[in-house]
Amino acid sequence: MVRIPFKRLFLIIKMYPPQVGYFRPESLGEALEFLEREEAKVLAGGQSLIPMLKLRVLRPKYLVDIGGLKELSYIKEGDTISIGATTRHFELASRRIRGLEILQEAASKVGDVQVRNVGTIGGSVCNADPAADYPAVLTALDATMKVRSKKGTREVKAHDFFKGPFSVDLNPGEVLEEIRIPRLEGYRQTYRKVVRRAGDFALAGLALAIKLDSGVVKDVRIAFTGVSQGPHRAKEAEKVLRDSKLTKDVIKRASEASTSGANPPSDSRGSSWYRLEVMKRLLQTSLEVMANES
Amino acid sequence: MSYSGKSVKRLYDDKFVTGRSTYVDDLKINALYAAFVRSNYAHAVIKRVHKEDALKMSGVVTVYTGEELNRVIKEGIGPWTTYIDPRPWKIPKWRFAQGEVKYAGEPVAVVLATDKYRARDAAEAITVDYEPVDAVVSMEEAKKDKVLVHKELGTNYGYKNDFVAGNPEKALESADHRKKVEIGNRRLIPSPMEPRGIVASYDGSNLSVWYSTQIPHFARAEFSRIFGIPQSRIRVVMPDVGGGFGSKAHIIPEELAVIASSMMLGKPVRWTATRTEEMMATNSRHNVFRGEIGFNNDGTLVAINGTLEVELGAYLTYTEGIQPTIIPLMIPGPYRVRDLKIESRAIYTNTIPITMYRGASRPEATFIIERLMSTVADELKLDDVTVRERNLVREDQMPYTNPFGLKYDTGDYLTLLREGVKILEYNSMKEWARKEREKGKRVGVGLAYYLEICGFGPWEYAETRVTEDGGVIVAIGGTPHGQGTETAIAQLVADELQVPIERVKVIWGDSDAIPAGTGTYGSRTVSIAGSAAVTASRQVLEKMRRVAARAMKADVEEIEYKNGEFVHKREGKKMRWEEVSRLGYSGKEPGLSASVTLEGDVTFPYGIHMAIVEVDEYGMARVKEYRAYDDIGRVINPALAEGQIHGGGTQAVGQALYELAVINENGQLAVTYADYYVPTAVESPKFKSYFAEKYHPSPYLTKTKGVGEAALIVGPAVIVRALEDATGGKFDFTPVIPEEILKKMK
Repeated sequence: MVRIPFKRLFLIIKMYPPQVGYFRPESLGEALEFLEREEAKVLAGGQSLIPMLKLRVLRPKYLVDIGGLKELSYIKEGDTISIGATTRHFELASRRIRGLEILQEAASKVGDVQVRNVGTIGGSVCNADPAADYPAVLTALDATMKVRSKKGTREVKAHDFFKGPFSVDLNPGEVLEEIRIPRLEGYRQTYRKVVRRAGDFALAGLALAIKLDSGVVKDVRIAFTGVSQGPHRAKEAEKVLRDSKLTKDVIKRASEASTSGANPPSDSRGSSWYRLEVMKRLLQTSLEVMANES
Repeated sequence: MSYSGKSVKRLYDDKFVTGRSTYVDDLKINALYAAFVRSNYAHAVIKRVHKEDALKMSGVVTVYTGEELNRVIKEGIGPWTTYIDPRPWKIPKWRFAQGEVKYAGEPVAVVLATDKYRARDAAEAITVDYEPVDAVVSMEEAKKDKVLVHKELGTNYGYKNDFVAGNPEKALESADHRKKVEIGNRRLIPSPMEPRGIVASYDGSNLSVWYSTQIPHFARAEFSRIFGIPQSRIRVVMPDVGGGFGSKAHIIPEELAVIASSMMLGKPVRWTATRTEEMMATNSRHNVFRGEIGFNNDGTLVAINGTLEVELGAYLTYTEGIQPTIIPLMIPGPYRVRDLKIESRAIYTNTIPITMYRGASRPEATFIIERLMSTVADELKLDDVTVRERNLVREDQMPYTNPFGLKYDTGDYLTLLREGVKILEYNSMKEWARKEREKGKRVGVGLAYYLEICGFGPWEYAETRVTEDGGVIVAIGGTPHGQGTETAIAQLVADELQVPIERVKVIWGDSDAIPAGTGTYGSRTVSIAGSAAVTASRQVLEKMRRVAARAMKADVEEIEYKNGEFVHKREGKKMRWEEVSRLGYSGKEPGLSASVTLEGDVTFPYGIHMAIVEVDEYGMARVKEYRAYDDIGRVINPALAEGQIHGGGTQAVGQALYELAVINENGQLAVTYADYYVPTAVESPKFKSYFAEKYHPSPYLTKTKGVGEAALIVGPAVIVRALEDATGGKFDFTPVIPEEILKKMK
């Protein structure tokens, strides 16, 4: 058993939040050890967790701060792109990855400058806000989540990882270690986001990757954020587009089909009706741009 | 040497830009911290407050409820009687909740603890047994008087008064056209960057209060009335205040609880609102006008007949009484319409109490009358400018007494309209937008006119002191809290005394240092506090001439003052400013200070503003540009005046397109800063601001009128009009949210 050195176990930070213990591990192993034994919440960039603590929505006994762990902050390029969980948004926003251009675009649209400097991809993904940016991108791209615990490692497909609003497939003691995304060479990719105000969560967002061959759609991935309990993969719209040319009519039909299976909430960002309208227009505009470019 | 008219840099900004300012929360004082337990119910009977667990917690000193607090809080919070006649009002007694809560968020108990974290933890440990009773959370329901907010009043109507001028029924009948209208502003939340805060210290005989407020002297008077302590034994200090917008000119029960706790415990007590608490401390706007207008073929508006409903929330705040009494008076605006009936109604609901907000009644009135002008234009297919030209009060009618008796002092409304159309390039921008729309873009240009009533008397205090070493301290009853008015007043005084501005220090906001005052609100401070400061400075200069005359053994008439020198006109002898200052404190003279309480009246600035709005395919509107042309009287500091246009214009963007304080069906405020959209720099338009060179002076010594609220008064009407131009839709309620825009786009 690894001993937790007590000099790094600061009990009781006092903030407006409730009392909470704070532990800053020196390695992932140490973090996993602690998580195995204590009722704790993993803290990375803190851009969602800290506000939740301040609002007293969450009251964990401990915070385990993995934000400073260098071993979890990396971007490794191969056929598959591997991204460490504590990689900051700004690092992804400032790196163009061939075959994964969409990630740079999505990262540059997360929150505002302050959030992007501090927030991490893993934190955003594990928080699973139904209006967050990455979940739609990772779902569209069939990413894989590598999850670690003291017991070992397991892999989960993005589609299965996002279970619902603020709910992911992570068990107590587990930490998201890495995100793996297959490179999509030859795909046109875009992430578009509709917000009421700069820096806000998406009212609706669209991740789109499309492979054209002589104007015919060979493959297409469409996923929305902000319009359902979690990321919404628009399979019906994909079906309409596959093996078709991007004609006005096809685009229109795909846009209409994109809302199939979506169940947008009505809240202060917009009504369910409005979100459905925005979805259709998002896809239509994005496809029109791609049709014009090709 | 002349400072007035120049963009002198703000005198005291270093501390703000270097983080050394002192807001209430920055004050270091050995105080207990207050935290509040709040009701989740809009209306409920308080059966029992369980304090036991909280009292056992470490650091917790005590817990008070209304039962204890209201022994000290003797009188209730009442209306601002300087401006609101309480007689026609039905006013519930408003102290700390006792026995019953009337809105969700109302404080039910206060915890006093040794630090704010313990205080908050303890507040969470308190449970309250409620018995919910029927609540009425919308004006429409409240109007039925089925469920009453205050049983003892017998009605939810707090105020009913019909403002009638001429014969609107007859005018409607003889008009060429009649049209039904419904126009309004929904509820919003003022957002000062610094939330409310208070520190109270009662030592057994004197009460000191450090308070984030716009009105320290009125607060002193109110605390005196409420707690039964003579004003002379109360000191209210306003440290640096991070924004007010009218939302820091009322008193809330939390603040009374802090003072009462200090009085009961004999210890200093403090509280700073969290953002969530700040959002519940002040809600604003929410008014609807429904009625009918009559107009003729030539575009003249001849009759307005309708009902104005203003929401009050659960209690009558210090400032909300202004709205239903001043909106009707200002509905005629700068136009000649003389036959009106405005049935003004103010209605209690089980919601967060409502207060004034930048512009206070003039934005509401301006939105109504400008929407009416645009409605006439649309109905007759006339241009917005033409319709206004045909309705504006003409120069030969000035000073003009409006149908409700307001006397518009000076101005040439028609000339300003015509100049403004040129300077703002209205016609060419309209044409540009039309061409852009032909290309498929949704852009639009809109304008609106406003006439503002500001100044608001009744008086202001100022004292000018010349110190022994020749420095000048100007103490004003005005209370700048971000506007930079202190710089403008230093400019005026430096000019009056012909001394370098570096010699002049302006102080305010401490009721012990400044014996009397009214405050900063209603775009009044340069005019009324500035004029008082100039008057006091003149009197001091007169004293100095007398001192110089005695020293030079001359008659005071023989002494001329110029540029820091007192000259014996006949003999040519001179005395320097510093010499006279020193002599003023030689023991032979009574010192060099003079104070005045200067009377003042209302004055009426006016202007035309224009916006360019672009709407995307999702119905999201952005204000790209905002242009303003105003006659605000003499301009003392153009940069400060422009700053007011920028700030007010940005808040106008918020009111027109973004800011909606959603109250859910349970009466709870359903937004946080995650979805209550205060515009950021990204949503702010590019500004162009011009002031009329041939201005029309106010009767004030400074010849100034006021600019603090102009852009928020007219901005919402301007932006909505541009939005209509961009989309072809019609919008009569603020904020216009994207899905409403999208529906009209289809």
